[in-house]
Amino acid sequence: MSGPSRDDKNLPDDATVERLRAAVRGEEPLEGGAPVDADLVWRAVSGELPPEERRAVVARVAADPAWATAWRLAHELSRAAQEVPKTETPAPGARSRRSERPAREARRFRFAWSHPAWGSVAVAALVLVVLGITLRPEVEPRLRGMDGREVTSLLPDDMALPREAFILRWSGGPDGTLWSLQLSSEDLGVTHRVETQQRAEYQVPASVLAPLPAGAKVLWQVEARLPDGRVRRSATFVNRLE
Amino acid sequence: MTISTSRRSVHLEPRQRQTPDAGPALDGELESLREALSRAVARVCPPHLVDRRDDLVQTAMMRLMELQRREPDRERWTASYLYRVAYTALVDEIRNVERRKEVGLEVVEALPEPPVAMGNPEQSARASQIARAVRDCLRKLVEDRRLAVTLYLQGHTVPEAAELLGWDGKRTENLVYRGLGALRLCLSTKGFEP
Repeated sequence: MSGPSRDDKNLPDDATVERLRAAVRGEEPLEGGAPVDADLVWRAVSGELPPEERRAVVARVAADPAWATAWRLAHELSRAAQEVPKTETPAPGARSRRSERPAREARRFRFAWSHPAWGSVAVAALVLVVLGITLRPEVEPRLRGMDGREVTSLLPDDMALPREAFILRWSGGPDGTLWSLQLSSEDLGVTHRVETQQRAEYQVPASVLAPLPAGAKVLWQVEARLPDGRVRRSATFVNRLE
Repeated sequence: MTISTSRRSVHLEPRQRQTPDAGPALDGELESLREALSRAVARVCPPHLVDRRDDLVQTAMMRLMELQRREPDRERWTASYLYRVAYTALVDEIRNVERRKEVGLEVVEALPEPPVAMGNPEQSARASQIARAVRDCLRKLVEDRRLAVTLYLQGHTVPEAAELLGWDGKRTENLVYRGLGALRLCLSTKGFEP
């Protein structure tokens, strides 16, 4: 950096700047600091926000080490994202798009993969029905180590809810459990978080949902803080706006 | 599928029906993203999270895969979208790690918390003191200087800082320059000669 008055003895040299940067990187988070709005930070770093809003975020970065960590991560990752060649986008399905198999063969493979052994499935389903067991079309990923309990949504997956009564309900914790909930739109344009509430339900304010169009997906996840201090986190559930 | 990291072991029950497009599990297609996450975490995370780096990356990848599974529209999964989702998951997990002292949900093998400080404890304490002093001194700077110096200390170049702040490059350079001088003076009054 070439400054206007290099002879100023108060100016730190490059090595000192690096030490200052290292010290800043090493700072521990503040007690009771405001939660980091990751989406806001990302939009600031990537230039999506207007300059005055970017400056407001930088002011938070100056004041709070947690925001500073989030800023540095966003800087690194947004730069890494820009370096990914468009042809190498690591998207699901990219493998099939890159494949040189004829489309017909690919369809056959997909069919065979998704419909294995129909006869066996039918027999198994019949047995389960006879036993009074409901076979769900998909089994959610499940994390072991939950003492047989899991946090589950009480709403059907993908169920549409009215904007004015977007009430999320779940189960899975004993009395005394404290819940936090976070939700986001698919594009992360809308994020919302509620901390430490006692009821296993939450009505999302209409103002939070206002930017979203009808039919938009809302992804939500709850975290349980159990009376014994342990923490459980649910899978991500999806519901829609009516 | 069992995923092992240095401190925990997580087991995901396989889905009963899986299609090839439902989201590959930790295969080569997401490897570049994982590597980018690992690099970013290694470069910018505070030392007190050093023992959690693998966990942070792993959790972010798992959240990403979970979201992939629920997103039928493949066209949305551009690189920038993937990185953005991974970033959000990473920040969220860092917040969780900072917040909880308890053994988390995913931990199967209860291990004692390792020490969080790296290297010499005296050096760590000293670095922490300097960091607090820097933040305190930043607060005392005129706002424009504070913002410019903040970005500079976060690793941005002057042109990057100028672009982010929406200011002219020359002005930003001047602000960084003057701000660093003022910062050093402030630190010296606090007894720090960084």
